[in-house]
Amino acid sequence: MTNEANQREVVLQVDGLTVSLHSGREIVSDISFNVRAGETLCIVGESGSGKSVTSFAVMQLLDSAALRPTAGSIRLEGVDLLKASSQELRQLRAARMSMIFQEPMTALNPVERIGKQVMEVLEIHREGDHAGRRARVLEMFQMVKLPDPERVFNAYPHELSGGQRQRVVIAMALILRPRLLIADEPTTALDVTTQAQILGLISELQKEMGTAVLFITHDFGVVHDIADRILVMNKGRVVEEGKSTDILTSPTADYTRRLICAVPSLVPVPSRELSGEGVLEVKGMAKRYVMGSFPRKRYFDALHPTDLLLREGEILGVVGESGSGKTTLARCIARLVPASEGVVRLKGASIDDLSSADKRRSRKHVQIVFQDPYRSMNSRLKLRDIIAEGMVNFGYAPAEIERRCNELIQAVGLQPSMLDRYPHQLSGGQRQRICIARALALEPSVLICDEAVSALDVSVQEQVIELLLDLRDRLGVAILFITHDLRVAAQLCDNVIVMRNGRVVEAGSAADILTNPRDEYTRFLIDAVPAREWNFRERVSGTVAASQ
Amino acid sequence: MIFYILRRIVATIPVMGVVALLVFSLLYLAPGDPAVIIAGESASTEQLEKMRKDMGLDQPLPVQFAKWIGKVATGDLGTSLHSGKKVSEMIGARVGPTLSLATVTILLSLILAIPMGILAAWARGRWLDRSLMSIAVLGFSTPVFVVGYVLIFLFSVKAGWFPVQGFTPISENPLRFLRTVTLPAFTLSLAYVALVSRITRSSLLEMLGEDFIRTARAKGASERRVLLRHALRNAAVPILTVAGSAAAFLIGGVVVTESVFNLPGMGRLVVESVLARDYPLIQGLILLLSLVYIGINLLTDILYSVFDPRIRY
Repeated sequence: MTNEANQREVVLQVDGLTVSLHSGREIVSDISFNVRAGETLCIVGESGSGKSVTSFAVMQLLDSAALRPTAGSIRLEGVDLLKASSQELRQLRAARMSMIFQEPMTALNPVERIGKQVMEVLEIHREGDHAGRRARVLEMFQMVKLPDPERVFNAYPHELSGGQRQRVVIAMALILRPRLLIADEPTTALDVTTQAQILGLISELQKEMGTAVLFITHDFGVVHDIADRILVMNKGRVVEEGKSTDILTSPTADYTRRLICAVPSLVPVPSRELSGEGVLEVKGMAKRYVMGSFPRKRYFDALHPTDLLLREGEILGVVGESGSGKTTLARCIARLVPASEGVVRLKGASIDDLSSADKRRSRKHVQIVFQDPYRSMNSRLKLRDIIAEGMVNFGYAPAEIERRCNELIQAVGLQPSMLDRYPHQLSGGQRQRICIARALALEPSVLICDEAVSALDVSVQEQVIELLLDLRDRLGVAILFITHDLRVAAQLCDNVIVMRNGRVVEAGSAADILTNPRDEYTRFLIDAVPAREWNFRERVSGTVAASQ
Repeated sequence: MIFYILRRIVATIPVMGVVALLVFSLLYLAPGDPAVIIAGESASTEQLEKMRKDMGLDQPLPVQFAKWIGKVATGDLGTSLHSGKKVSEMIGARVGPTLSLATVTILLSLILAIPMGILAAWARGRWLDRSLMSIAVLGFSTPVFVVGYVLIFLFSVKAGWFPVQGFTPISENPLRFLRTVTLPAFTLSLAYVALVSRITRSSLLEMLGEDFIRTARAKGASERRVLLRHALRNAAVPILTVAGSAAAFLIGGVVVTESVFNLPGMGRLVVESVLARDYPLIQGLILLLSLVYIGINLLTDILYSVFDPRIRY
């Protein structure tokens, strides 16, 4: 930080803040930091680190039925927020301090027009008359670069994309030019290209208005791109705090070093020789959805005719933004949704030629692992029953099932003694391991992972990636790996296909595509990855290797 | 929007067809020969023969159905076996009190229940919430006839504010109409007030946990604004669903209330016609009630799309 930055006024000052459950358990303990005007402080941490609780405590938006601040102070331009009355707080919110949220899809009132919702901020804070408010909202929409502000003004939230909604939320947060902006993982739910735009927009507006930004994130790429200073949190405590470059290159705490090392590099792993036979061959697979009914019947081609070939022991990445058709492709291959067209050959045999009983039997060859390990298991079943269910359906002998359950849970790095537990007793990473064990139970030749590591913290993500590589080597299972995260694809995939609007735009080896993309869209995607030229693992080890 | 409404209306046509078919079959599903049922056990063979001919019972069923539909469409529901009067006239004479009672009851339920639900949600967990919800449980668990007689005793017999029984049409004297309909409507509404207020409270509380409520608070919105502007309209769909079903069930409750307050309504006509096995009258009543149900459902569907712009099937 320069001397000039040091002289800027402190906007937010948090001292010894402790937030506890009513039971007395501390969720956040003795946190202190400050944010100056025009500066961005990133709070980084994994899930459960208390970073979101800290941000909600500043806004005084904690769920008072569960959580309350029990010690410390939060000062916004000198005003102690913990001592302010609820009326004073209401006057400060949006006017002096604002917040943007993680999930733009649900942050807006679904039954009220967008313009009215943004105008409400001015209405609450008694700014101008109706016509004046309208003009200011439209002007703000222009500032956040919303296309066609008039149309957006009259639209309902469900008529806008995620990125557009986040722009609306930002417009809402900044329309009164607050001194402090709190951004709680504002780009986590967005595509990389949208993320890059939103991050650019926030820093542009920050510069213009001199706003102090408190930015909550788990993504070191984002941190690298936007932070002036970094505060690392773990289990409700501050691990360390410092200038962005200092923390990223020479962290003092082991925890920070481990976290940074876990960020996958965008430099692809060297290509392997693939000698296995083709396991899965897809020809001309397409999916068309029919929407609405007469007289407004519309068609939507989620997937245009697509081919792919997957070999034994190969990991094929399917990358693309939301709406690119990658999940539709996975679901059609797994026959979770019927494809409109196309042929699937498993080990040379076409599935369509099979009788319906044989079709059902063929399901064991293609198994799928879903994105969210918190919602993809039946919470009323024990892990043993979750892993065993497929085997029971396919008539395995009870003794065999028991033996395989023990084997599988060890194969994914957990103990057989855990088989009697329920999903809620596991962490997110452990749950995803169980999902993988369940998928492997039927000895599939193809494993489909649909964003299987996207919901996991980097440290856990790293372990699951290693597990998948290990399973590939030991079992020779072919993996179709759907992801939006190019860093993960670089570390895991042999080959990659890039999808956009239901079409494959580019296919080839991961090394080739990620270092030498031919298609413009692929280049665009790679450019949008935050801190793309920053190889965290190499930089942090002290010997700053030239990765550019 | 207009397309949506038209489509919903068109969609009710097959439902009405099925209802008409079921109502028509009533006569044939009942055990025994329709002619015997209509003419009575004591009729002679010639009388039965003549009856079959007169009523077209000797013709094939599809032809009979088509003729019956044709008549129903022109408002001819046949003649009551019991009184010999036209079914349409008998129903016409009784429909006023029932419709008035049902409408006033629904309005009264909503006017009482929605504010109760909002208050309870606002005061969640506090004494006001608990007492409102206790009242709701009480209203739900007390039988209509008990409440009816207690209210008559207190407000009509003792206080003399309302007539003990009888009905005055609104066209005749609006004030007297209100006096005659208030007690029965209030009695009838208690269960629905309980139901709708509980649903209002729980859907509001569910909405209060949503992300956009947090956004509203971050804007500096007051608790009152959060509840009334943001939570309530989003809670409208579940409230409407329950209110719609309640309105349909209401017709069943009308029977008892009409008896207690001695109102000359359709509920009592239903009981009378069933007891007398007056088939044409039963058919006419079922047909009318089914149309009312279908209408209520249609209205609920259309109101959904008014409250929630995402709903356009």
